[in-house]
Amino acid sequence: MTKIRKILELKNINKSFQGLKVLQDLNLEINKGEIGCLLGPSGSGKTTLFRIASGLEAADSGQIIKNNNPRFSYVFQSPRLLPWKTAEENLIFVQKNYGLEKEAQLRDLLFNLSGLAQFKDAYPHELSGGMQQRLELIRAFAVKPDLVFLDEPFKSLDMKTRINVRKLISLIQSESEITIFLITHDPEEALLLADRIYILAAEAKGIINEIEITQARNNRKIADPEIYQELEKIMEIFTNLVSDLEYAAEDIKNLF
Amino acid sequence: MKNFITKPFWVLLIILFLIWEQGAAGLNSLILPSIGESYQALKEIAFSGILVESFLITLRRTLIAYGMSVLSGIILALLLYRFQLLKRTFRPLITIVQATPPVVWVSLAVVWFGVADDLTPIFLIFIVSLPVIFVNIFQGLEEMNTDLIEMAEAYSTPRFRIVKEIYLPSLLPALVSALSIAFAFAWKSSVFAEFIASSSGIGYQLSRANSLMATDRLFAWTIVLILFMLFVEYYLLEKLKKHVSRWKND
Repeated sequence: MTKIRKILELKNINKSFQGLKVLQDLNLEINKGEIGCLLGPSGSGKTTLFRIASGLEAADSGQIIKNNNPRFSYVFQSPRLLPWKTAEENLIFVQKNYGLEKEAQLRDLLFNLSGLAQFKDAYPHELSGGMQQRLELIRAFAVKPDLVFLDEPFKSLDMKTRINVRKLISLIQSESEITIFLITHDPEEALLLADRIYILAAEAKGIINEIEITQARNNRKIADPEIYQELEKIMEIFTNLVSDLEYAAEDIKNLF
Repeated sequence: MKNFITKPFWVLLIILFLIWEQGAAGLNSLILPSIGESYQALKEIAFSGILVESFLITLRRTLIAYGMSVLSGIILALLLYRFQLLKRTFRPLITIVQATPPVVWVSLAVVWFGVADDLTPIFLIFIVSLPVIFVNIFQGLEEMNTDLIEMAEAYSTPRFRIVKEIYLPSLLPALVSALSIAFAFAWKSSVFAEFIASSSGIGYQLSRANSLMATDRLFAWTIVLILFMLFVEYYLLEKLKKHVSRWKND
């Protein structure tokens, strides 16, 4: 029997908002045990795709195939923590839904890994933005998920917290076989973390490129020739997505 | 109570007492009784038993009507929030009820119920407090953070836990604020209705003191009313407010 590699398949997904097509006949496969990064410019429909793939929103048409009924978890763009519950209670809140509330050891491990061990009893408002984002992240892992969806988890983080979060995701994923599907608009972040990068183009053009990164995650550096080459490739794809403005050169010269 | 008893307030209170005493010295006690005379009147009503008796009557009426309005206000807010048709039908009606002056309600109550000891005050308290409770709870529901509900649903949280652990805690601050504002309305309405159309309670005692020109008693009863209101607002409700907003920033 062949092992099922795909954990989630999206087929011919269409989605419009008030007549504006955001996704058109989009196809995407997420492989089990991989970190997949969805990279795209603002307005390309990344979050819409995230919401449809994770089941938060329905597509207008198309098919979503989940193999082996995977358990999903979520890291939202801005932390969605219950303000009246402490950090640990926030984890227990979601764990209860899967009968995992007695897994105190798992919680302790996650608190230690994220550097939040001292803040288990703190309320979210007592934590900094970066700490809240880390709490949101470990909550996603506290339910022993098969597939974690992360919507721009690095967006408002400082450099140190970014590295910390990236390492945390990478370590948990490599030791647990949990599948990660991450949205970002930062090509460097994607190159340092992903096994596979999907490039989503604006104007409902769909996934226009898929790049597989084979180099081990631990040793990756942007300056590595192989990674740098991929970065160049991504930059070129993005440059091609931007319309040429040369036609306006004469007007600029005259009007200024 | 700390919020209330501040040093500047004590200074202001002393100044007011001094003005009161100074004013009373130059005026007939029918117009402005002195602090001593008011205290004497307070002692008299306390020792005669009228104070406790009237206070308990007013309190009982207030609590009954206030309880009814809290319960109805919450149910109404939930129904109107849940059903758009009900919202579109009844929301303007609640604004009309809220905009109608209490004196209109009390006049109507006298016509409908006569000078009934309990009914008129209870009706007035209910009709005045209900919109306050409703508006606060309804606003709380409308301002509910739907992102948190979506998060809970995404993590397969059962409906009853979403209600218990997200809806209720979200609404508690609005509820406490509603309870606080509505109690002030209820307490004042109760006295007002008793003043106009009852033969018992603090409002009735005020009306008696007024007709007998017993200004010292009028002052004594007013002191009782204010002290009780302050106790509720700055002690009971303050404790409740602190408890429900312990997770908040401010």
